[in-house]
Amino acid sequence: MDITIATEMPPEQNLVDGKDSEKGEAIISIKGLDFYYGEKIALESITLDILKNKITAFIGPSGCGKSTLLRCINRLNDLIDIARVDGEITFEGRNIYDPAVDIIDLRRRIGMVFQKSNPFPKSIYENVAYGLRIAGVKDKATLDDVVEKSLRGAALWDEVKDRLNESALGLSGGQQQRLCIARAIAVEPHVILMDEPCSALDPIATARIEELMLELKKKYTIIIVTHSMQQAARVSDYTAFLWLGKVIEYDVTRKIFTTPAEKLTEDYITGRFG
Amino acid sequence: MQTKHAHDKQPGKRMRMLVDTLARRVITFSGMLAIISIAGLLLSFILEVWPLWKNPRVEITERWHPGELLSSPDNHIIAAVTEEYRQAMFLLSRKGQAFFVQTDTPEHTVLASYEFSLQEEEYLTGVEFSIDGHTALAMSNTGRIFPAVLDYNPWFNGDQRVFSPKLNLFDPIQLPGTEGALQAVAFSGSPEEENFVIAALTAENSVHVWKRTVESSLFGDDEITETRIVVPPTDAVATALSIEGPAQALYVGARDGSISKFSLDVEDEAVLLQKFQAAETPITLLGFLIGERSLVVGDATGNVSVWFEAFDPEQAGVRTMLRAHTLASHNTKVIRYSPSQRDRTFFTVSADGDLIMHFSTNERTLYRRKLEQGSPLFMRFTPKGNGALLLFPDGELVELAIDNPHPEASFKAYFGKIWYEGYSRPEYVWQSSGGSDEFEPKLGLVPLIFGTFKGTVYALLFALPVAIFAALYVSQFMHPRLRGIIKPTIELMAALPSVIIGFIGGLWLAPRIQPVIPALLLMLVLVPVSAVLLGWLLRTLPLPAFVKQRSGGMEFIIMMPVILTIAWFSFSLNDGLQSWLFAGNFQQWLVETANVTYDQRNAFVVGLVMGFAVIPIIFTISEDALSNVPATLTAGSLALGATQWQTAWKIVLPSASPGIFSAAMIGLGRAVGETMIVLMATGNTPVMDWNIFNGFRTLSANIAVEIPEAPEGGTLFRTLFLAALLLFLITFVVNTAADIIRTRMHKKYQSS
Repeated sequence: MDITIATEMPPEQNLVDGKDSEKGEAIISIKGLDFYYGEKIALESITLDILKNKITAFIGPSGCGKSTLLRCINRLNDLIDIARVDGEITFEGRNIYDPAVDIIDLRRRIGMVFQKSNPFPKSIYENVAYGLRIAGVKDKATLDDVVEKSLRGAALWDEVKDRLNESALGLSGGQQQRLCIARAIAVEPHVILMDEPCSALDPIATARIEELMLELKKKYTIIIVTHSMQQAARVSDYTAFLWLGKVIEYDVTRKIFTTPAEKLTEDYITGRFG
Repeated sequence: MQTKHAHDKQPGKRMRMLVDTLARRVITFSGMLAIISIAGLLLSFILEVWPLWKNPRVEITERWHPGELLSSPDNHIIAAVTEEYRQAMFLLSRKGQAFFVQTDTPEHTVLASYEFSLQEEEYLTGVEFSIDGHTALAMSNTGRIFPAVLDYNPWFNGDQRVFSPKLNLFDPIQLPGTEGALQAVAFSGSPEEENFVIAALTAENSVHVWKRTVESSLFGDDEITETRIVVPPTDAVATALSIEGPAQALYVGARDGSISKFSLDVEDEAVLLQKFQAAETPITLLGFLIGERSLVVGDATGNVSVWFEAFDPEQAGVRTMLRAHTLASHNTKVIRYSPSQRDRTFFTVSADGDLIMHFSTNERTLYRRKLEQGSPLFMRFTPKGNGALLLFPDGELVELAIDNPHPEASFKAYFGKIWYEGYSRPEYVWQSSGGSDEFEPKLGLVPLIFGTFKGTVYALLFALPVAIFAALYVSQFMHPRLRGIIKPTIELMAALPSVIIGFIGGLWLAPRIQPVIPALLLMLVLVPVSAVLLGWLLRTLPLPAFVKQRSGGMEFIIMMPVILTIAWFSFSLNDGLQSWLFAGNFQQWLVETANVTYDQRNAFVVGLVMGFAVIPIIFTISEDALSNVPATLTAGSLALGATQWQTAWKIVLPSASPGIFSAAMIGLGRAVGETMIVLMATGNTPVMDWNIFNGFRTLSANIAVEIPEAPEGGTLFRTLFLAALLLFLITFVVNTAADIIRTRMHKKYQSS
């Protein structure tokens, strides 16, 4: 299978510390973020900028905190009772950990796709319409419109257009994951967080999702957590390498994969540990 | 080396296999044992219930000619009755000879003999016995009536029952104006009692009544009055008559099929109470069943019906005779009947010898047979109802043995509307026993099935929302540390014995609830409203951020004082509400406006306490189901910008619905079978009324209440087993249906 790799490589720049980012507009700025599970520190002074309409990949060995970092961005970690966050994440100019921030609104702007596809036990239509329904949209025409647009956006429309009212649980794994993407884009977020979206999929389904990501990046900013370095190399524009709760290196993907600045990054990429 | 190694491993392997096999056998055996014991239980229930549906057995045990005891050839036996154990028999001949004979020995020894003082050319034409068989009234061809009282006088010689029978003969009575053979006589009371009434139907179809009353004065002198009561002539020709003893009423059947009912509770002239059309052809038979309320009417075309007096369904407050039962009919005129002294079984026989054994209550035809010898001269049930004596014109006495243990049982009697004595219409009634044999058992199971469902519905109406919402809150919102305390505490509630819950409900709660119903109704409205209002306030009030953040999962701590305040508020308003809305007294108001009497132990109390008993189980299972909804689903919903409440309501609840459904069904099963709580807190009144302030009786409580009073093997005993079987069946059907639905739901909501 021929995988399209991002051809337009951004110029090299120092993204860490938010400096020199004038080449791209930062949609999310993380500054000095510490994250604790009870007494245990899981993320330590994370500082990085996420550029708009780019795909940023978080890579690193299991337990390095990449998923935790991702969940900090839509405050999904709030559900964990013993979790505590210091530092700030600025999204579109506001610190999302400001008590005045409406979490509901935040999550509507920052969508998320999970590791395991998690369609709701409802029909395909209702799955996609769910985000709008809970936001109070009742107009049938609007819903129909959004459902079609989102399913087309997730490259699923042609496969499911004749069975929109059937249970989403009847879809294949790859279709379910694309449905979850459709569900996420239905509420028109600005950012889509993807937590290992292909780890449970076969290579063909993976390829389709990756294609879709490159398509989606035209409209959305995507942050992806992945275990697969090939995937990071194939789809992302920028890559952050995390290790033991710290960002070791964050740069243009090509640079990370060809001439990493850190020995640790090189060791991880070349498979000396993982 | 290789072989030795394998050999070394053998014992361990063999041991493992042995343990495996043993374990498999033990488990299989235990499983089979469980299935077999349930099947055995079911089988024993079925065996206990089975005899209810068996037809009675009637067979001829003896045929003999009692006329052989008589000396003269133109004499013959005209009546034969027996005592309870069928060891002694009383026989009466045409020429006025009366004998008591021993019948449990083959030679029929005569125990005592008496002679009626008949005149020359005078002979007996017939004899009437009272239902209990102790008083006899013989008619002669000259119109004289000979009262006699029988006493078998049994005593024990060692362990053998022997008889010193006695016949008390009274002076014959000649009713004025009756100088020839009588067609029929009817009587009530006896010459030994204070009241003795005789009615006679002459050959000329006129009715005469004679009445004797004895009044004891304070000084011990008895004042005896003998009166002749004139029966006003009607335009119909009298053909049959009968006297209803307790009511002192005379029934005269006529050739035109009408029956006139007269009151005899008068000085001289009988008062016509009612005249009703009972048949289209002449009335040929009138007689009462045990209890003297049900009147058996037979006509010339063979129809047999049962009538009694009840309130007119069309005219309020008026009592009238109603045709309650229409029984199997003969082909020709009904000439004789004999009622059982035990229940509402009776024989009728027609002129062509067609013998039918009926049961009045459920209109069953228990037995039917065409007698080869034609119609009997005399026919009588034995006192225990276990046999009958038929005396034929050729002088042969046929003794029947009757095995009729459960005449009351029938599908219709249990599950249909039955017209019971004294009722205006067929109804569903359960009233299994009264004070005496005269009581008509009412074995309708429908009120009990109704009660079972009523109790269940009210209990679930209270328990389901409380338990499911509690489970939803505890699983989705409550702080995990609190959840760790609350969940086991609620589960512990299930360990409370139901007898204690029932005791508290029936004896403590019920009398305390009675005066505060208005306050409870107010609370029912205020508590949910205030809970919602408080939730809204907590969200919208500009509270400090840390309060909002930290109150997550602790909302109920704020809620508790609010609910307590509302409870206090409601109770303090109780009297005010009572006088403002309910005219000062809720119970009186209920009677006046809705015509509902407030029972202290009612469905409301049961709903509360039985709800309390089923809440833990519904809560626990629902909570587990809700907690087991995959976190990825919740996270997926939250990540789309859903609130926790939206997620709980739209994602978690539907996904957990199969589990919640199972929980509800298990709760339902528990409520259906619950015994002690309903027994103690319902008042056990088997009425069919959905009203929440009335009591009810459930199948299970009914079994518990009545099984100690039910003689083993009796109809009631077996009926209670039928109720148990029914309960088993209901539980079985509910559980099976629940499981099928649950599996379907599970498929629908199953995550990939």
